[in-house]
Amino acid sequence: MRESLQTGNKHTKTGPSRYVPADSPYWEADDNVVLSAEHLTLHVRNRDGSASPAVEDVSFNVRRGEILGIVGESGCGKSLTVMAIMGLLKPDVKPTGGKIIFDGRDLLALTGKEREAINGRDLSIIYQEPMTSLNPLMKIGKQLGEAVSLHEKVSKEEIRKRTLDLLTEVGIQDAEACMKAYPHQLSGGMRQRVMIAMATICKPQILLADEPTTALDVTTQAHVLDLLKRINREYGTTILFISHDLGVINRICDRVIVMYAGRICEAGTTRAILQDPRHEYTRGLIRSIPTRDRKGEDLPCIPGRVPPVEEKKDPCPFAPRCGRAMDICRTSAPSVRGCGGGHIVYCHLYPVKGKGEKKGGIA
Amino acid sequence: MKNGKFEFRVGFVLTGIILALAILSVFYTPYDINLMDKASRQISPCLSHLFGTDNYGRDVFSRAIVGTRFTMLVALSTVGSCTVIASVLGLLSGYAGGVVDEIIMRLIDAINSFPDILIALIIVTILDYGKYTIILALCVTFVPSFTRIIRTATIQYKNEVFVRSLRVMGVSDLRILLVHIFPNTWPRLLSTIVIGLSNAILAEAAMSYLGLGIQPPTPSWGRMLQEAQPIVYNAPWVALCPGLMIVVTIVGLNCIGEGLRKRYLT
Amino acid sequence: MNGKESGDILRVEHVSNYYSQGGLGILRKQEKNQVLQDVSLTIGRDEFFGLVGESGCGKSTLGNAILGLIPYEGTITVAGLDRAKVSRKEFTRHIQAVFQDPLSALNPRKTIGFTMKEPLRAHDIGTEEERDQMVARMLERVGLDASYAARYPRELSGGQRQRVCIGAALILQPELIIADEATSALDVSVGAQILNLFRTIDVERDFSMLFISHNLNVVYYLCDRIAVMYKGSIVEMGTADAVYNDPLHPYTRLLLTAIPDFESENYKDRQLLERFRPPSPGSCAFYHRCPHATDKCKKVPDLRNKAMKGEEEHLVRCFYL
Repeated sequence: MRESLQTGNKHTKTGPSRYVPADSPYWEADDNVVLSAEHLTLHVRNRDGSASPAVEDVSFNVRRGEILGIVGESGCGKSLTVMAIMGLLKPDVKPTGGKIIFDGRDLLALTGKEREAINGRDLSIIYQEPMTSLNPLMKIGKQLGEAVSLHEKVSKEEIRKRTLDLLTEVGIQDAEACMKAYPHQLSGGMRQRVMIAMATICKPQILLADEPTTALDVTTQAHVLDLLKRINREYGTTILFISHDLGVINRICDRVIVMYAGRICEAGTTRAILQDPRHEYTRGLIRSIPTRDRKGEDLPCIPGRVPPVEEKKDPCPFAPRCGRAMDICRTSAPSVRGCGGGHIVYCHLYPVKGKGEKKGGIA
Repeated sequence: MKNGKFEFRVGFVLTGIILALAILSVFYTPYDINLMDKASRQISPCLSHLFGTDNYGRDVFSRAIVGTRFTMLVALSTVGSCTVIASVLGLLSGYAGGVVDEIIMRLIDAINSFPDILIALIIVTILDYGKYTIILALCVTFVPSFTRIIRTATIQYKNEVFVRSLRVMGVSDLRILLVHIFPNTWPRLLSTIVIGLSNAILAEAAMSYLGLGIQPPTPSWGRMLQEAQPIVYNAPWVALCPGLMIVVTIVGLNCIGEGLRKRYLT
Repeated sequence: MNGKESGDILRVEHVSNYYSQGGLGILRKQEKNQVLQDVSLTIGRDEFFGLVGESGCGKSTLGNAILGLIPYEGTITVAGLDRAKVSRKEFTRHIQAVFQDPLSALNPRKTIGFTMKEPLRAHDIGTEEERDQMVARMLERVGLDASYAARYPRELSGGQRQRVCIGAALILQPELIIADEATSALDVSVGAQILNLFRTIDVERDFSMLFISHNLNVVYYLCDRIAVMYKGSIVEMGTADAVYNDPLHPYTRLLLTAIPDFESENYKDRQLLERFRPPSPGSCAFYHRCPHATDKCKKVPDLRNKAMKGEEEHLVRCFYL
């Protein structure tokens, strides 16, 4: 996977503008892209009727077979982005710009019927709290069986067999007992496994995972992450993984996008982001996590707070908390800059390369 | 629309009209409400008698706006005393739990298990007619629902983290209950009160209609409807004015209640 | 057991706790589930003590028992006072708490100042004016400013609310603070600020803390000693360095390998030391997941000291150490 991230040298377009279309030099369009967001902008309606941007100008490509992480703190827009992909935005959130291209179509422009055909079959989602997506009054076996029969017309016996197989595949040891259980009788980890089984019945092309392990204990979390990795490897399912935890991201993701206050800060391979972060926000985030060797010292944490969605933000939303902010950060939004190896950063601290310059120069 | 602004506006205009008329009636009525005039019996609505006259030649509009006062008095005092009683019972029952809760709730269940009108009948039979009897009867039938609402809210807040942290701070139970939990139940209580008012108006009308309420010649909306019943084919307008007043008040109050619910409880 | 010097601020001795569950109303069959199983620990003055474990292991239950919010069996003394024998008012002078969810930990209808003055009012400290000053000073100490006293909780961010909660807990100058997952609900960058706040405040004024968390990294960062809990009993207890860097109990080791780690690259393929087997009643609590368990483990092991000579106490509940 990593090799495919190495950018080619086919760059012929003009230099990077403020906007980064999917065909920008840093986000090389290739055959491997299954889903791409282009300048996605979402507005949330506030209580007083005005609208604030919750996701602004977000562009990224998801490549076939990869596990792409989106990491950020609450209110950074990571969940909204996923909901926009699934077409599950609440009525007070409106897409106001950009596109989400999947299979040659703009997902934001689909009708209800077209959406139904895609959700569950091509795109599937698992949430943080599986209990909310399971019917508490129906046994697991029946719920899964119904989901199976929704997509295929098969006999009862066949459905039962399929359901058992599904549960075994997601690592539930006593699948028979699990089928007879009600959701509340299962542990959090088991419920999440059942949800994963349900979400992968149709072997979707893309599985969206919205903080699927946040509510779980660390040991269970590790197992569920391993399961997701196995699904990714064995079925080639592309996974878009949302988390606030850099450790979890490190365990599972090939590439990461870091988001802050509705915008992308930087993106690149997991190794590049965690070992060699470029954006001041990512750096601050990594520094502020208590680890083995930080005992006894003050955590160098980022001052200030995450701005609420309705607050008016600087063009670079991180500027008020950034130790290296310059005047330009408050007057113009940073364009994308490449750091080589597919690592990009939206920050004025890094040079924008001139028109026609080869990628090699940036890297 | 989202914050219930529309509902508020409609509600306040409608109840405002009724209230204004009620206040007006204290100072001025177009005709003496007890003036019986044989010459002007059952006049259909016209310019001098806006809503016509009744069987005895009394002006329906004048009687209806005076009737507002009585109806309002009954509704307000019923809901007022009911709120006080229910607050005490609900807070106690919800916060104390256990045996206290059990006793209060079973009492409430006992009241609930009789039809409201039966309770009212019994009370009126024992205590004789009069406005205080009506208020008492309505109060008894209204207390259960009010108590339940306050009890539910109390239980909900009792389990909130902030109550736990107040206990840890060393704040006394009584203070937690009165200063911290009770005000939190107000939004819900307020919408209950408004809906309660409209229910009380309906209940008073119903009781007066059945002859359990206020005695003649004092006018009240229910009383007027009852008096209009025998002549409804000859003079339907006699029922129109009090009926309309009831409808306007109920719709107005319910609008306010809905507005409150939308603003505070969603 | 730790040396019982008189300097201990918290002493928990053989505390057990049950909760009953069952059907409806009078048909309820009293089914007792044991949450805490004979837990004993002591916290010294000015010591930060960490309690780690998975959800449902009983760590919060222990915190609530110490705060006197739930019934328990055994003895809990704070600053020499037995919770079962003194009034709430007297007890709460010595012990305060910070809870997990700063969203619901403040009365939404009262201003910050009003809530922060509550403990002072409850204990009749100062005049109204003095209280205002104390609140203003405390707000500054927790990194806010006096103007926050007039605000309502909904106007504050999660981190600010947690600062207010910490301020309200500190305003009585208690000797012990129970912090139950105090940073878990906060964003990473805000949680770090709160951790720093705990450290700086500790330098300014002495108090002990029982820091309850599921996050071993955070506990290690902040605490002097750590106890690891599993299924209601303590399986390992010792200095933070000993437990974190030289874990003995298989469960502690499992926890440590499972912690999401963003620094090491080989973490991606790290295997968990875990083996599942059918549970056996009356066995060691960790029996069904332990990679080393044998038939010997079908009994409950005692908590034994495994420290070398000259080292500080390091207790482990395992037969094979």
